[in-house]
Amino acid sequence: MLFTQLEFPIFFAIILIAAWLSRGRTLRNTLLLVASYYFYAHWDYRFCVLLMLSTAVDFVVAKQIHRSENEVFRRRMLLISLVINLGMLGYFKYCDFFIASARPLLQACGLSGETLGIILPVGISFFTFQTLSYTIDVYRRKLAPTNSLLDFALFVAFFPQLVAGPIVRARELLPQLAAVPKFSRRRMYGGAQQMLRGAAKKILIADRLGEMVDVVFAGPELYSGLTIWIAVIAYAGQIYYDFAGYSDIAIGAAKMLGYRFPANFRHPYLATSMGDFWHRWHMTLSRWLRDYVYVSLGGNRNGHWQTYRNLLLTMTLGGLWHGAAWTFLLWGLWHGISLAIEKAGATTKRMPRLLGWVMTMFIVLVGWILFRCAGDLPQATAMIQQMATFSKGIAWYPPLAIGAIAVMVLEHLAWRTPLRKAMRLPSDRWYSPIATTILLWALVIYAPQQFSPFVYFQF
Amino acid sequence: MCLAQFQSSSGERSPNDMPANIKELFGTWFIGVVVGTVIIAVTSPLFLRSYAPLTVDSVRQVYTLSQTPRYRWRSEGYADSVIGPLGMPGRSDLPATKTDTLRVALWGDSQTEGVAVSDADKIYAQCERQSVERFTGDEFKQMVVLPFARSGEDAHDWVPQMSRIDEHLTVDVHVFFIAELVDLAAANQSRSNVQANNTKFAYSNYAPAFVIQAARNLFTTGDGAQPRRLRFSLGPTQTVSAPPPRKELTHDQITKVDWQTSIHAITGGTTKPVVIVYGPVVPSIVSGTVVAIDEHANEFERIKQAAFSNGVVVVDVRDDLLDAAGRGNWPHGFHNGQFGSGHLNKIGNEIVARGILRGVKQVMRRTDQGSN
Repeated sequence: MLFTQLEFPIFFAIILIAAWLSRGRTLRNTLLLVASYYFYAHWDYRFCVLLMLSTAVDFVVAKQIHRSENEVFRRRMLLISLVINLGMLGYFKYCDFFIASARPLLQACGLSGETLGIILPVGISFFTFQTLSYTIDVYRRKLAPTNSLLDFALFVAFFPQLVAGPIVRARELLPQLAAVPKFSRRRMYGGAQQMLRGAAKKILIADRLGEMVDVVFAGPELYSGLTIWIAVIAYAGQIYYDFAGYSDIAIGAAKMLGYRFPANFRHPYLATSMGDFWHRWHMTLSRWLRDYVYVSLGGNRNGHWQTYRNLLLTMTLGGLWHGAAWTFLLWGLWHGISLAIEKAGATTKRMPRLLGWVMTMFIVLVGWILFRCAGDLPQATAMIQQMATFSKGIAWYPPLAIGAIAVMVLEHLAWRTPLRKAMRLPSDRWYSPIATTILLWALVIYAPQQFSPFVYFQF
Repeated sequence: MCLAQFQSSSGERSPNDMPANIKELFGTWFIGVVVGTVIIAVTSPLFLRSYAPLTVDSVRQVYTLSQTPRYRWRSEGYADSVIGPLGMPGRSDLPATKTDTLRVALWGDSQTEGVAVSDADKIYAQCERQSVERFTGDEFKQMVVLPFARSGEDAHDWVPQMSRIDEHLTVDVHVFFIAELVDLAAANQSRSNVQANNTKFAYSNYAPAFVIQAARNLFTTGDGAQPRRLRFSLGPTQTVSAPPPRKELTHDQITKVDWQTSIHAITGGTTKPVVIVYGPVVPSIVSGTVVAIDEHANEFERIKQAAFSNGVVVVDVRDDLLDAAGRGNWPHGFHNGQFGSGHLNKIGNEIVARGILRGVKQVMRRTDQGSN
């Protein structure tokens, strides 16, 4: 069930009313757990088993880790969680990729090298990271394990964040699930507005940009360099508004149910350095990578070269997390190298802010080309060449995509002005009902008649 | 490493308190909803197409768009068209018969109807303009073109209309612009008569376009013809492919069409000369690749033979379409659509108009030779 499908508002309205009518934490959490499993099963009931497995393993393992003082035992337990969670992720997400990549070798050994055609369970990258963070936090003694399987199962499967984040940590959500939230009209209004904004980002901006992106990236050699520039900027906008829109709906839905999720985006295209960019882009993933990969590798504790190595490894793994293709890996490596260079001092920090912004956006845009051309490196390099030379070809300037890019620019600029507050449509402002009505009409008028999935669902 | 710090709830500010007075709250929102809707109603013509009722034209005996001075098209191309008498897109009046003009009836589907381009750039208008510009002082008269093409129609619809038009109006030549050969294949099929005084989509007389568009999006799916069905059952779902559009015939089916019969049915519907202009969507861009080959080229050769034996002039504009695209002037598609796909644009219409003029010229030459 997609947030932008008509089924979702109906499902959500029923759950919202039932949740606020249900008395007591157990009843409320049970209802939300059942709703969350239904939400997942609506896509494919068979993969609910994975959710259950991940929940059961980490619930038991975390308890064992917490109880024991024996470091070897604790490590073994952590290893079990890592092997099961990462094994699951590895099998479903990377198995075919590794088989395809190693095909010549496998064929040389007399094996067929045929991929297995494994279906990627929706949200597996998100919920495995979420359960892993719980177990690692317990192992690091930063968190005491919960005694409630119900709460923990809900933490893993809670439907607003189940399929594409934000990656919420146990210490953020579990304490909230341990109590019955207090009803607040303000939070309800704020949550509804955030959901509306999220839907607008997805349907009115991301989908409009996507129409151009799909066509140009399908055959970039046909189009002029300028058209490719526009398409690449459009893709930057599409992926941001698509994912930020999803995150807004998730955060808004949780808020309406009485829970608080961390923010996932903070206008990333205002970043004036790569470090700044990662402070603003997919923030829940970047802090996960920082705390559980970068820090685990040693962080910046062992000198410059180790720090650079750790940055490269963390970002490369982060790239691979997004998808099983060499270009995702390259995308991560590209960002890792940029961060390492920045860290080394030859950086945008000492540059004028405008120059820093231009350099950062250049690096980010080149990165998005690698990202979008998943699996097709020659195409990515050809596109970069065409952009550099402003090559000739079909000069296609779709007004809706260009309009959506203009909205993106204005929205980013407005975020640094007092308009930022107005854009949240506070309930006590005269323009809020008018703007809300216009947004609702626009959403219905532009509602997708065809299936239009979120970009990050594939990760 | 500069990775994100956790920020509680995005640094978001919760909205201010809601108005305590419930009456005030409802009042504010009621006014807001009304004002917001009025703003949408006033601005929507800029970005939304028209929905017009279809009425049965007394002469043509088919559903045509009702007469209106402004029929908007916004999604692929951006144009306002006049819908004139007999449902003619682009013509505001029916020109009086004059002896020094050559009257051509133009038939086709949405490619020929051309609501995506402005009236001055429609095929009929370009034909008339070119007939003045290119043939002045020639042996040909100025052309008056009556655009009877309508979206979704094929020879199945055109044949009976031709004889009715011949009865009621003066027409010297019938021209068919064919983008899909299957449109000709339907010529010899039987049809049921429409009910006179019937109106389709009458609700578009009363409901504004933005309301209709919103309702279509909410309650239908795909091309707007299938009712939307909500699914609350558990997945996975089996992907059921939608039934093919009415026009789609498989390659095998097309090769089995008896073109002789089809062409004969067309010429049987009129006593006037007939011209067929063929211009499929070539070149097209499919999944990022330019397709310059007409997959029905062999069938077109069969049609040409059938047309020749029935005295029908056939004009092929495929090379002109390919040449134009080769020069960077793509004949199909728009900036707000996709080049190499969809409907003819101004350039494409110009090419087709040239083709029509070539065809009409041939017909007139034949007629002159016959009368001499």
